[in-house]
Amino acid sequence: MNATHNNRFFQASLDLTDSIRMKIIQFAHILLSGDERKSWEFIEQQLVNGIHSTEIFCTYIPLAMTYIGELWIENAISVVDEHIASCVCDYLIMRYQAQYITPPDQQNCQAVVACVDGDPHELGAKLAVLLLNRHGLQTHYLGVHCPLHHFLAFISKWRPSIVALSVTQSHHLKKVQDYLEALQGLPYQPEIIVGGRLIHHLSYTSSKGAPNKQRLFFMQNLHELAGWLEQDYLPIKPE
Amino acid sequence: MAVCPDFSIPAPFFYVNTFYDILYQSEDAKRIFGEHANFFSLIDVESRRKFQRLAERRFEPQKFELLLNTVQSPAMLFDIHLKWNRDNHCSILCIEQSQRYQQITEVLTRFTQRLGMTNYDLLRRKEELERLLANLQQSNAQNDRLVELGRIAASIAHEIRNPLTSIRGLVQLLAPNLTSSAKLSYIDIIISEINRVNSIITEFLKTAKPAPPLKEAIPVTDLFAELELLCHSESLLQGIELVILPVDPSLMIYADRLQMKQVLLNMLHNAMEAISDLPNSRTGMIQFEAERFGRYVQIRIEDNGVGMDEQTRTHLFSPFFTTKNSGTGLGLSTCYHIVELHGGTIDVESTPGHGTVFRIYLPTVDKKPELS
Ligand code: B12
Ligand SMILES: Nc1ncnc2c1ncn2[C@@H]1O[C@H](COP(=O)(O)OP(=O)(O)OP(=O)(O)O)[C@@H](O)[C@H]1O
Ligand SMILES: [Mg+2]
Repeated sequence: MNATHNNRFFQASLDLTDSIRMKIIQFAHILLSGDERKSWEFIEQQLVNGIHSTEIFCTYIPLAMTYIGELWIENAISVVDEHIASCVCDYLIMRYQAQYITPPDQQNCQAVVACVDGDPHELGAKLAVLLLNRHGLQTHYLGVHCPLHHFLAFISKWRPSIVALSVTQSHHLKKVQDYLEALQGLPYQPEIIVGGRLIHHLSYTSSKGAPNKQRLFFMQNLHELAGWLEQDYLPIKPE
Repeated sequence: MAVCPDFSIPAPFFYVNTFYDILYQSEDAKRIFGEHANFFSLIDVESRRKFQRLAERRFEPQKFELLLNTVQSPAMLFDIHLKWNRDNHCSILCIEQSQRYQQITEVLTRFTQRLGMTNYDLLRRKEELERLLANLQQSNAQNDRLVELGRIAASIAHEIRNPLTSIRGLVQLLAPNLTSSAKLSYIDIIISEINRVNSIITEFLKTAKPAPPLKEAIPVTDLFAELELLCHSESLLQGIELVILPVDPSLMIYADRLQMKQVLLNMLHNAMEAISDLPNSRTGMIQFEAERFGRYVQIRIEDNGVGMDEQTRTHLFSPFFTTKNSGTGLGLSTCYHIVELHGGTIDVESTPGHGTVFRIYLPTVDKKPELS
């Protein structure tokens, strides 16, 4: 693949060393081979080598998928290959959670994540769930086919302190507005996060005024979420 | 004016100039995409650069996937067939993938859901087991190791087999849907991997704890007769001469009939495989004979196959030791175990390139065993 200014993968990996970039490319090819076991071994190997799991989930997996997206642009692979790589990522995420994350023992729901209804891209959302769980927050994932009214009903019932929405495709961006407006009608004020690579294209202007600005966050990537959880997020102490 | 291709084709078709201005567009194209002046305006923003790059390659026809906005919905997946002609006009045919695509999506979504239900803890234990097995394969397994392994395997095997079997069922169901995507190899890998694990476990359970033998007095000649019946056609098919020498009808062993058959069949299969591995085409021969040997019956199985080297001979009876690509390496370890349970033993003699003789010793029955 040529390192052109037009190439998303190279744009996104400018900060990385060549050797990490090569590792990620190697990882992308393992994902494309559909070999779950080898992919898992790759992850474990990185962990053994001292790579922090945050790097795996916020850099390696997203960038490997970006690289795969570029291969499609180059006509080197088809959407079917993207499917296969995505399945393997799914496997890695689930397996990591099963193996390394002790589920928080509270029986309530502290965070909820969903994709904008109709957007089938869910790896970003699933990785966000993983980060939240890892942070000790009991997190529910509502998936890719969760209509807005179900989403609201769920939130009203469980009152999670974090509500996160993931949007990937450009033509779903405008739906975010509906979600945000609806979330204003809630009887309490959760922290609201909207995540997506295109989120900077979104200019949210609510007819009813924006939700409490302090509690609305737009995040372009998962590093922002990880950082926010570490530094800024202060859970409301239950009285 | 340029010669126009046939626009009556019942498919979305465009005819464009170097600026991708649409010169002509088929009825189907109008129906699916609406009226456009330029082809770019119907491409999803994020795949425009793909189109740009590939469409510039003018010398050979191109085929690629592209996301197009239809009247019905944005970013639909199409196969694009594109060809430039001499007067710098370009024909673009757009075939929607949705049907094929939907099938694949469904298939993979279901598979992913199944993965979600996988018991990862079991999976880890399975991998540990396999690692243990790999280690054992290298070291010459001792009996106590075998017992330990048997214990672990028995506790895990039952649990693992169920989910694996259901995944296999699922994947097999899906395979036909995926043929067109040329991704069958992925499915094949899953299936063969699962089969392999299943067969290791099944075989292993057999090795680890063969059912206690149901012993009865059996004339060796009966055993040989059954063997001949079972293998006559197979050996004919492989062009192997199977010689079963007559046995004194009074020669009896006190043994489990099924397990003995399993032992002899394993030996026979190994011999056949040793012969089929021969580089030249000398006629393969396998000979079975049996005779009294003190208080024992000695059964000799001789073949003129590839034989084996020192290294192989010392590891022969270790579970999972194999020199074959598709072998489990459990055949002989099972045999050894069974014979041991019968109070007997096995030895082997072999010359690389010339052949192998296995000898099985089993206690004879001189008088009828007392009924208790
Ligand atoms: C993998 C993939 C798929 C997979 C998705 C599998 C899955 N289970 O998620 C499959 C094969 C199913 C797929 C399908 C389609 N895809 Co697709 N897909 C991709 C690909 C290659 C990678 C996406 C990905 O998973 N990246 C990895 C994740 C981790 O990254 P991410 O989603 O971008 O998330 C990051 C940020 O967005 C953010 N983020 C996301 N969510 C959240 C949430 C929170 C809380 C936070 C804090 C952050 C956050 O952080 C993440 C990490 O940085 C992209 C190419 C690309 N460059 O992105 C195309 C892409 C997204 N797909 C695209 C399209 C159009 C489709 C289809 C609609 C095409 C079609 N018609 O067939 C279909 C959908 C079919 C349908 N039913 O509608 C387009 C979108 C174009 C657009 N205009 O927006 C892209 C950009 C490809 C392209 N170049 O045209 N796709
Ligand atoms: N008759 C023979 N001639 C030459 N080599 C033999 C013979 N029998 C066994 N061997 C060697 O011993 C190894 C172990 O045999 P064993 O039956 O245990 O496993 P296998 O035949 O490799 O696998 P499986 O029985 O599962 O097909 C074989 O791989 C082969 O190298
Ligand atoms: Mg064998």
